[in-house]
Amino acid sequence: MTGQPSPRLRAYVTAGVVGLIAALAVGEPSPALIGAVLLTLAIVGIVGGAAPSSELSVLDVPTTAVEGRPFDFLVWIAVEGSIGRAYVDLGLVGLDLVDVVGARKVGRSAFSLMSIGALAEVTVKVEPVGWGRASVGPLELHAESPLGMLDLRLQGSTRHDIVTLPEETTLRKLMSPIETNLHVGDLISTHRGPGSEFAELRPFRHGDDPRSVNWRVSSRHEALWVNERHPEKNGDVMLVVDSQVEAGTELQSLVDRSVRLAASLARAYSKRHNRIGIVTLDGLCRWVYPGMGEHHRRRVLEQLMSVMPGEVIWEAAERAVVRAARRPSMVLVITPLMDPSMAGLIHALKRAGVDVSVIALDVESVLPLAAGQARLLGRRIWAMERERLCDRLSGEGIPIVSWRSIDPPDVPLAQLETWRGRWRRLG
Amino acid sequence: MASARLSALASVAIGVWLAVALPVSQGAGIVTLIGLSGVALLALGLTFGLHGGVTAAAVAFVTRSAVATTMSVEVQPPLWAQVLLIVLMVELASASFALRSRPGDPMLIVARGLTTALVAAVLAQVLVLLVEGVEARGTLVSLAGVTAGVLAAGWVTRVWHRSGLSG
Repeated sequence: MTGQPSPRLRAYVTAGVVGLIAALAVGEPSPALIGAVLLTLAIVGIVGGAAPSSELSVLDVPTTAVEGRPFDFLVWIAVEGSIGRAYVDLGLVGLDLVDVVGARKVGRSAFSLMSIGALAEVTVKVEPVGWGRASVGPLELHAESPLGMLDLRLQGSTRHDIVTLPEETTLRKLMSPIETNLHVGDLISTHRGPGSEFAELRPFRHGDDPRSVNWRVSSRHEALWVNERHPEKNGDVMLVVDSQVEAGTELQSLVDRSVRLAASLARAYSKRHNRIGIVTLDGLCRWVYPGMGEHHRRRVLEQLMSVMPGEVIWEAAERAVVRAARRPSMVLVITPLMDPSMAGLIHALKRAGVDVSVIALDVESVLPLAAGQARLLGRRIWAMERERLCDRLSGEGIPIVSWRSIDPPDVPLAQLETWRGRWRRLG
Repeated sequence: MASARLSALASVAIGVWLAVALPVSQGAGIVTLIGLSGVALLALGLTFGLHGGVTAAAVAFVTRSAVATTMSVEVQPPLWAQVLLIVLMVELASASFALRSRPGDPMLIVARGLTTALVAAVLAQVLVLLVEGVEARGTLVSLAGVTAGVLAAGWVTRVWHRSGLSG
């Protein structure tokens, strides 16, 4: 703990000395009396205000939290000796202080203790506000010496970062990747191989497993027939989150919707043992290749939670997305489709033979009503341009649906799956 | 932040009241001027976050008191009240700085400031009574002043070094 002279100490010492000198100058005792009183206060304050050795730490802070779900952590303060009233600033970012056990809540990010003996333990309950990155600390303890002549200060050394995930949305319907990879999973592969799903019968060939012989069918024919099966594999799902919108406008809510949907999809696909990858397009184009496991899922969510509205550099983005979303990935693009370059990027993916689907966020519903004829006309032209982009993509055989703000996320997913099912039957 | 502003305002109000306590009509214009200069520096310091403003105001009021004693006018307010107001002004100004930079309980800070000011006023009155009892003037006061000054300076320096604040 360090002690710094407070403004009052400097004022008392300086004015006290001036008082003594002034008394000498004018030959009257009054200024000396004032000076003596001020100096006495200063000296008493300094003598009683030694900074004790102390330690401040935070325990049990989770690395992941869910928006709106409070959690507790522990603040531990150890002091050699004791200090009077102390204030601890928790340095909360993206978190609301809900309750404090063992101290008194002060403001939105601090608590106070009447006094600290050798050890103080305070349980703090906080609630994450919105998704994204949150943090606790570094903590700062402020205390004052008797008479407030010294400002005692102790700073904790660490900041605890927390990834706040959006509130969980249960998705009932998910699209299944058409192509599967080599890893074992829940999806029925279109290929033949060892599995439980019956595919078809075929005549026995040399090297076939005798256990796959279908004896009932073989008994009716003069040759051996074997069952062919579909293996259970998993698929690679690549989420592309486009957040090119103007920051500080109503359009920013589109990024919020995109991120919430992407987080729900990442969770749902992970539960089904699919490999998840992500490409986020904001000021930077960043991606995580498909992978599995809790550590990978956390990487994906961490990247998703750091998405900010920004201007996309499309040339770099196209190269990056095509490279990251290689076959046999199923690419799901979540975009407000504000820029024709996004349509170009989707087209490039399709051209590369990637199974791509698009959820276009409905922009009209979040915009304020257009005032004036010119604005109204501009809005209509813009809407027509966006419609033309959708038609162009749709005409190329890319499943694309518009997600209205009033619809739950299941609706566009179900629409896409219907579209893809129809396309599969036709093709 | 509201508490910090309120505290600063109260501090400046006390300064103004102290500065104009001695009517200019009694020929104490210079005294009032020094007091008001102190208030102006205090207000500037509080507005722009300069701690030196508090020190300057305290020094100005001590100087004002010294100048007032040389005039043939009745010193207003009495010495104990001057000490009380100067200490209260400094306490409130410091509280304003403290509340701006860190969390704090405004009521507690104000209560402590008031207590300190009262203790200082009582101490000043005790000293006044002691000095009046001695009825000392001239050389004796000067000698006592020099001795007190040297002793006080020595003590402050010693304590300052021991507290580890000198670096």
